[in-house]
Amino acid sequence: MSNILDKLLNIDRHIIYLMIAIVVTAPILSPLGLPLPVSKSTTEVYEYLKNLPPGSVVLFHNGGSEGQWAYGAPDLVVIGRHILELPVKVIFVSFHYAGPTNTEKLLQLIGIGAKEYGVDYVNLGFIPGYPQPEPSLAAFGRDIHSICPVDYYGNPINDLPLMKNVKTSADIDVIIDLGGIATGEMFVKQWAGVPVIGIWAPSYTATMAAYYEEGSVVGILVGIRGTAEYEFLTKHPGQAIVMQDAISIYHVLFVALLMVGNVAFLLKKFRRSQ
Amino acid sequence: MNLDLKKIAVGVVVLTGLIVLADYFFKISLLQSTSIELQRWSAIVSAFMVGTALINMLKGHGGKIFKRSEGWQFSAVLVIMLFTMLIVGLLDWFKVQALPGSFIFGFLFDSILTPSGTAMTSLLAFFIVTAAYRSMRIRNIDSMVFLAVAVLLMMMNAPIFQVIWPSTLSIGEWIIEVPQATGMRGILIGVAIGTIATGVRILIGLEKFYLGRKE
Repeated sequence: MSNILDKLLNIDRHIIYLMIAIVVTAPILSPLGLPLPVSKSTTEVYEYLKNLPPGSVVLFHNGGSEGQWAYGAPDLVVIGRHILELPVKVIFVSFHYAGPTNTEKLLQLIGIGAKEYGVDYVNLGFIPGYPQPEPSLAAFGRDIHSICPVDYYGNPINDLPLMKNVKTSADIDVIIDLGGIATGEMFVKQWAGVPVIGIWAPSYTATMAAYYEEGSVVGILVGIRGTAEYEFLTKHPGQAIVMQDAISIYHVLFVALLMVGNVAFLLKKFRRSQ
Repeated sequence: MNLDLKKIAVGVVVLTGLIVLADYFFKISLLQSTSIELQRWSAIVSAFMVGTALINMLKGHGGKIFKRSEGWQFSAVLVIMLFTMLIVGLLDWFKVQALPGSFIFGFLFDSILTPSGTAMTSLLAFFIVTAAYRSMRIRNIDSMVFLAVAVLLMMMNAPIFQVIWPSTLSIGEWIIEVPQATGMRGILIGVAIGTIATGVRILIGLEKFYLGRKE
């Protein structure tokens, strides 16, 4: 018995790696189609964006790194597609050096439909300040035109019809923040009064929970799960729904390993005390 | 005349801080335009940081390469890749038509940088499980609560658990919205008070950490 408990307490990490590889790969190759209840915060994001008055100005901050593309791309695609379908104006910007390239990839991937560059959407590119962009972000909110005189393609933003009436953060109706460099909290603090929608990892959502409760953050897509729910709500099933099955099974394995480890640990402790 | 550079630096910091702070409370146009200009400078200074970081990195890794210190080969790869990206990016920026800058930059970004970053991020999935399996053991009441909350939140993020036990979603949401938000609010208030105290110390010239360490 003691031998079994010792083995359960010290499973070789290579075996755990192999188990993870199997449980992550199998559902991607053969999706299970598990049911997906939609959480409150995802519904709030969907309803908020859907009910924006026509002509509202949305600032889409793409703060994802190059490494985030693999799991951040479904977030970008689902939200990007939805806002480009709505009758709103979109300003893409990034305080992360990889953001503009990722935004370009996104626009190529989803297509821009009937939207016209400069009138319905613009890409302002990268604003320096990474990895601590708070001062730049604050300055950008005070005077967008002086911090970013030209767009990603080198056009003066004064010449872009959309930017003619967008001078400061007060002209922005909502911020969509795809996190990677913790800009959500900076937007809440430095652009006070502009509602924030977060597309954040569960770990960062924990940090932002107080702002969500207080109302500065009006909705959050939490991790891949939130993205999968959004794909379901917008009726555009994509990568996140497929990835969701893998993440579900991965979490089952995670919880099972924690249970096995703790049961073995407690049994050993109990036997030792006798 | 001997100039005390440290005193000048402290003076600049104090003056800048006071202008930006005063602009927050008083709506005076001169104050506002000066404050916006100063904030604009901060963005420009941030851009310069990339240059200083480049020099610092070359100093560190260049020294390693010349001295043939342990692992110098990795430093060499880093420096080569750094200059490759820099040159290709500049070719793209200056629109050098004779050279396919955009294509090479796109290739390096999509085929080297993105997969490397993704691979690094993906490794977390493996390391977190093995680390948690070995460390998250019920040793006392605190660790038991910690484990219970972690498991409940994992259950919230995996829809399969809602099939088995539908309440996991509402329990997880409650944990985030009530105990977690409450705790986070306390931390935020503490941080805010600490920030105000540090800000006041900087404004009255007592805090000088930005001048670098004392020799």
